[in-house]
Amino acid sequence: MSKRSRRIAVGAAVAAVTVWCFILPLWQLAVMSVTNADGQLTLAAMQSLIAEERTQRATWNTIVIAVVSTAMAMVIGLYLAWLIAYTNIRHKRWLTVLTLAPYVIPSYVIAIAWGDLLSLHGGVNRILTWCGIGPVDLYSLWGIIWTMGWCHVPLVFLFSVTMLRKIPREWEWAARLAGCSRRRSFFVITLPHILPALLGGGMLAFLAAVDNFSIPALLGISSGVPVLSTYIYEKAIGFGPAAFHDAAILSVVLAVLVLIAAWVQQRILRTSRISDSMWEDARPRVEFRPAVRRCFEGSALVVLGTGMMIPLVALVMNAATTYYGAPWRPENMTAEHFVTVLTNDGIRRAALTSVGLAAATALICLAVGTWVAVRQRDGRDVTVRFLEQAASLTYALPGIVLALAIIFHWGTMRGVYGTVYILLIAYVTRYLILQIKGSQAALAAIAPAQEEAAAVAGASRRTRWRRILLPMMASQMGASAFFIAISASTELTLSSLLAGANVRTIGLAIFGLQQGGEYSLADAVSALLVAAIAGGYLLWRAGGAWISRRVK
Amino acid sequence: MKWTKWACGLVAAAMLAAGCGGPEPAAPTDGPQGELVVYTSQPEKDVQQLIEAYNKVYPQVKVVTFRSGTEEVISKVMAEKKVGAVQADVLLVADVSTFEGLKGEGLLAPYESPELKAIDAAYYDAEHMYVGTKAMATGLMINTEKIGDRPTRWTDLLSPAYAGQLVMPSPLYSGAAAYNLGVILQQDTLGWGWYEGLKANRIKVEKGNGAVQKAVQSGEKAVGIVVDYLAHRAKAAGAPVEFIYPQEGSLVITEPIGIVAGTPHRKAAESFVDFILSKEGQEVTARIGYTPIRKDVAPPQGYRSVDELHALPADIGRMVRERAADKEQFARLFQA
Repeated sequence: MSKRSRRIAVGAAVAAVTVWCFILPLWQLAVMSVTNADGQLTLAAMQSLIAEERTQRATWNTIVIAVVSTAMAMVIGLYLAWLIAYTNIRHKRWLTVLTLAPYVIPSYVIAIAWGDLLSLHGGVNRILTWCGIGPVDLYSLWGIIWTMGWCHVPLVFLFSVTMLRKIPREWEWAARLAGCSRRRSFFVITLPHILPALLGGGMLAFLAAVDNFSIPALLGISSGVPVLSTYIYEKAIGFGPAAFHDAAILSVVLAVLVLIAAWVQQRILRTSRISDSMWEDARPRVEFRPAVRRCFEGSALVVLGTGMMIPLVALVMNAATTYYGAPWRPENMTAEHFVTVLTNDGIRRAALTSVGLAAATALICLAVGTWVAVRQRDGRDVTVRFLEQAASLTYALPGIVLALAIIFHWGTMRGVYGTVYILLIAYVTRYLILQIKGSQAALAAIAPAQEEAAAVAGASRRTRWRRILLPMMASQMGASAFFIAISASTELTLSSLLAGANVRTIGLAIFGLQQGGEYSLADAVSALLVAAIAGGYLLWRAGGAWISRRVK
Repeated sequence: MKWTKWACGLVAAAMLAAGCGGPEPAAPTDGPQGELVVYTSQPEKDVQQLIEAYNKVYPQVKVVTFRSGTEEVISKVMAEKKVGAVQADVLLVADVSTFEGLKGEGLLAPYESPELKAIDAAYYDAEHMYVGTKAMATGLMINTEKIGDRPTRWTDLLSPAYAGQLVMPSPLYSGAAAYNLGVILQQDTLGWGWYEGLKANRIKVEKGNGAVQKAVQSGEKAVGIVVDYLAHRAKAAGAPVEFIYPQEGSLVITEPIGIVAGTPHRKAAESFVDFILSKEGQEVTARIGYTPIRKDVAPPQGYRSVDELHALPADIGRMVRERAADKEQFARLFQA
């Protein structure tokens, strides 16, 4: 085969796979939303469903929750980002790890933890009632907003911290020289320049909030606060000839909402005057006196303690008490729930399934994503670019929408629906873009001169990869793969619709225990899951350090 | 390229690990074997104890379970039936009226277990489509630290003394609650008027019985309408709660078991039914903490036996016919 015809063949194969795996499912979902049970084209169902009071309430709730929780995440995220990026406070590394914790701890665990902390008759609520504020019911619209706000702090934080560091300190100096106070220079120089990044991060938080299924599922279904994602879930698992069509219609509503938001986000980011190539200046710009510094360190600790640590402590305490709601006294402590969970066959199998799925998903994404990134670097390959865009679409769309699309597309195939493979397909479809982006960034960071030098020295393509490219890319590629593995192992949204009777992920196991009223057991599994994630993170760090030592 | 082969190998290994959780069972001998899929609404922990005991007698059968609220389990079975791929072999869910509905859909296969001899004929279907496995009475769970006067009758709940202190499970999720709704609507002294009174007394409607148990034992509410075993177990764990069997009578469900029509694992399914109804299986049931359906097995401490439970009477046929409409009206009453 000539080089040219081989390239065309590969291009055609990529295009075919892209259409089959990424485009067709979404197309079928769209078709489903405008047809009736007999397969006839109609908009009547869409009109009547959208006119329903419950649909409008779910849409309204979705928007309110997303807007308010995003505002909350932006305030907290920006404050923490400013502290970490600009000030001379100590323990930045640990504060960063704590801030980013909700990025890897699944939101259903955070929702359960907050539910434990704010249980209606619990200590915190007693104090709040005594102060005249409470009692606070987390199982409400405001509870969902509060929990989601904390979960999305890392998104705003990550965006802002990089941008803050990229703003040249000379700009601020210029403002100071022109007579601005430090506070005024923050509002005149810093804030306007990070505004695109802040809004960009905010839009990400908004998208994540619209996408989020687990928090409203745990806090909103029983208390009658529907949002679009849980409403789609209820429709899809409900019985009746129109159930899937209704779910498809709601999915289209949700998808439109998300695509508008994603478009706005892209527009905002484009207005930024801080370019990617600017240097990140991590040195502190605001030097506090020790006493003031301690105050700011304390404030960070209070914020992170309230948001991240105390709920997790409540989670562990509730898992370790004899019955749910028992006062936290020594005589009420027991390891019974942990023992039950660790010896339960169903939960053990769920954990194995999740770990296997996570490893398979991460490895497939690693292979395919890196291949895509390399092909893009080596030449202008239109079909690969098409694959990348399709993969961004399946990531941007809410998980519950993607899950429904995958049911329609793969559901009819024997040996796929109801097995673990449909989950693997769904996870790869959803997470592939993360690895493509990660591998692209890893490749971009390598100066072509290094590879060329090796080529001039006579190294074959294989040797160049093994000795030059892979070692230099490993850490960045590994970071993406690690994040994919963590996300896949704790996934709930896709599995809630796609898992069959015989397949259960750890997320579903926790969700099932919580729904079945076995709160102490749900707490115990959640606590163990957090421990496993922390362990995985430390192991990954240690592994990374080991590899970088060997490369050097 | 060496590393691609290595990566492919890893992917394959990971897929294998995801596909099958462990080694296959040992070489076949006589007796039932294979995989048995059970759809149930029983708590996770209880199901496992039951399966462990079953596997001591029938080690060759690998039991796989799907657990959710009764109404969701039934939705799933019906949806699977619609696409012609029912995955369940055995159904073990809340109550008789649910099974009457399944029987009407032609989803059940008759099986006359030899163990039926020891069970009162009132607790199994005359056509042997299903048979009760335990007796669970719904009554009142109270928090002794929160309550003033203890209620003794269902109608006591309408007293203003309990305003804002009540909680019950939703019949839209819990099969037991749906059954209870049907029975209560057939009582002259209760009916919709009683539910309207509960609403006026600001009763909180939780999803399942477990959530009601949590609300009462944590002191959030003083009185919960809940299945007996949850109250007894909470008390055994040290929670400040008591269970009251109301004077008018309790709402008794039997959590029947039935074999799915056309199952390819008929032998294994029969052995599972036989085991649960056997004296040994019923002893396990009692040990887990339920009132056994067999009279020759003693109930756990503090529970009433199947004979002592005074069940409110109900016409099952009428209940099945009116179930959907009743649930709809309940949704209108409490969700509006």
